[in-house]
Amino acid sequence: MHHPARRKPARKPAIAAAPTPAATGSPPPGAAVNAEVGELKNPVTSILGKRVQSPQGEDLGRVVDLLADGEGRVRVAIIDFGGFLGVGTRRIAVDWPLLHFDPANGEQPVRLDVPREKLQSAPEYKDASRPRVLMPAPGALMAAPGEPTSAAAPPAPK
Amino acid sequence: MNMNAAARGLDWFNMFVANIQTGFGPFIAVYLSGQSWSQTAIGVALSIGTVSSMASQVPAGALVDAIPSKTRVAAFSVLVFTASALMFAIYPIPLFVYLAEILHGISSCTLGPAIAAISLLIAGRFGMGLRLGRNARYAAIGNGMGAALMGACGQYVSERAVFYLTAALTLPALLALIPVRHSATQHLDPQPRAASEKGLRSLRVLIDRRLLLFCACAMLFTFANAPMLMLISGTLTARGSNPSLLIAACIVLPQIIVALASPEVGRVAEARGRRIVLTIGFLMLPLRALFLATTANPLLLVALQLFDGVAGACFGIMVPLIVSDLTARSGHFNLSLGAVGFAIGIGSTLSTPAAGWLADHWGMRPAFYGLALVGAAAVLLVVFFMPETRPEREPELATDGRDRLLPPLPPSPASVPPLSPRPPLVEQPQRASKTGS
Repeated sequence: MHHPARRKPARKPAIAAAPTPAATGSPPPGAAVNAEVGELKNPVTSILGKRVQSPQGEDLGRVVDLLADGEGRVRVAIIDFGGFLGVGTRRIAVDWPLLHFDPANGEQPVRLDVPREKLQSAPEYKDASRPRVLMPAPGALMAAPGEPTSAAAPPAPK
Repeated sequence: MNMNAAARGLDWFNMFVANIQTGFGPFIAVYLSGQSWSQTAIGVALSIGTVSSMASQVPAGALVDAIPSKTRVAAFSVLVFTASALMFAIYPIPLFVYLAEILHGISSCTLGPAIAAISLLIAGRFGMGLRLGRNARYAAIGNGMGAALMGACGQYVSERAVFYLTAALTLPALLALIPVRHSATQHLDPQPRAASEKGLRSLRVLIDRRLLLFCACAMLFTFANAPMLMLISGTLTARGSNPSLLIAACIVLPQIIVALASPEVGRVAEARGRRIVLTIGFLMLPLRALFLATTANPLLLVALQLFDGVAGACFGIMVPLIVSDLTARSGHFNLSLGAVGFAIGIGSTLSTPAAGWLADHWGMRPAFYGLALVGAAAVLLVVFFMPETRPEREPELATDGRDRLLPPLPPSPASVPPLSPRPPLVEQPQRASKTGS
């Protein structure tokens, strides 16, 4: 009866493991890596579709896409925010380091260290080639939640 | 008495169907995101749904025309909804989701015309306006309740549960059809459909000038109307202090207006004619768009949904009513309704990206001005070109229903209540007296 419908489970550990040396040591183009099956030391978690919460536990939406740079590092998470029954949702690009995971606790939502209002008024994500990303303001070293991180988000377009 | 039970059954049926359809709305995108679907795959699934419903509008209408028992069509369509909802709930993998989208798209296209046809059977051609007012009232109640119920279900139970709830709601919908079936099938004499074997002949009904004009009106109306909620709710999400609640209010408020106003709209359409109702409803659009262009105040945005309620009540009733005026006796009522549905589908499919593009490149205000312009064009089309279609009351001698289509200008030269089983009732006593003597 209950098929949990997990697609492509193999890809997600690869994304989570991207920063480890094994994955970033780029092989020469065209050459195959001598691959073998192993186990990861640290717990990992599936990300696509995960709920996102503010540090206060408010529901902020869910992760619907990830953007990677040329080195395969995940740089941006796309968060589907707000709406009612799917009407009026807004997709917002968020700098990857703003998200915090708890892989040992798989069902735990992702924590996003941005006040709700900042996320709300951030520009809507449209174009993967040059997204406008909600990121920590220069010098704001992961400011305490609720504290205004000025200049992080330009005001929403009229 | 039987007819009363049938009419009430149809009320409930309209309500539950509207309930069910809420589950198949944009919420599907939210649900599939939660099932780790990629945005591309979700886009594909939704497009499959749109394409299959667009493609099946006209054929589904023709199919409903050809099947004598409209209640059976309605029941079958609802059963297909059950299957689709269960596929979403149990196996949200691409194959089943795509299949469910296709099935839902097609059966929506058979269900709408079937409800209209049942209404025509129950109410007759001259009670159609009042009947459609009732349909719209109960559908609006169902929509509003559905949004509240499923919003709460998605929030507090689980997103998957929304589809189980949708599937469960098909059961009372089917039950509501039982009294309808008893009354509606009795009167069901296969309409004047002798000539319909020739496919080309049946398509001729679609080139009625008034029907084409109305298709154009409906397309423009939908083009201007469909993206407004999207634009408003986008603004609310960006600015409101409690966006989800405000968006919910934007969805529910027009339904309350429709529920309150629909019976009166139906009455006015019967008493004063269709053109006046159509004009009032269409006028709401450019007005609403102009107001929306001038404000971004969240509460005002919600309040302006009042216009949407009035427009929705008028449009929702006028579509089946005008089509029944034009084609009720041709035997191609549902085919024609499908054609209008197709025009509406084109309008809504084209307008959302167009309005989104305008909003992205030029801003909200020009987007609303653009929609106001299209809405105004629709009003002009109604005022200057759309003829009155209300049938004349005097029951004259029945002429051939097919010849009626040739002179395009007079609304209908002869009108006869097509569905009342008069002749058998007249003959019955004679036969009885013969056997008695």
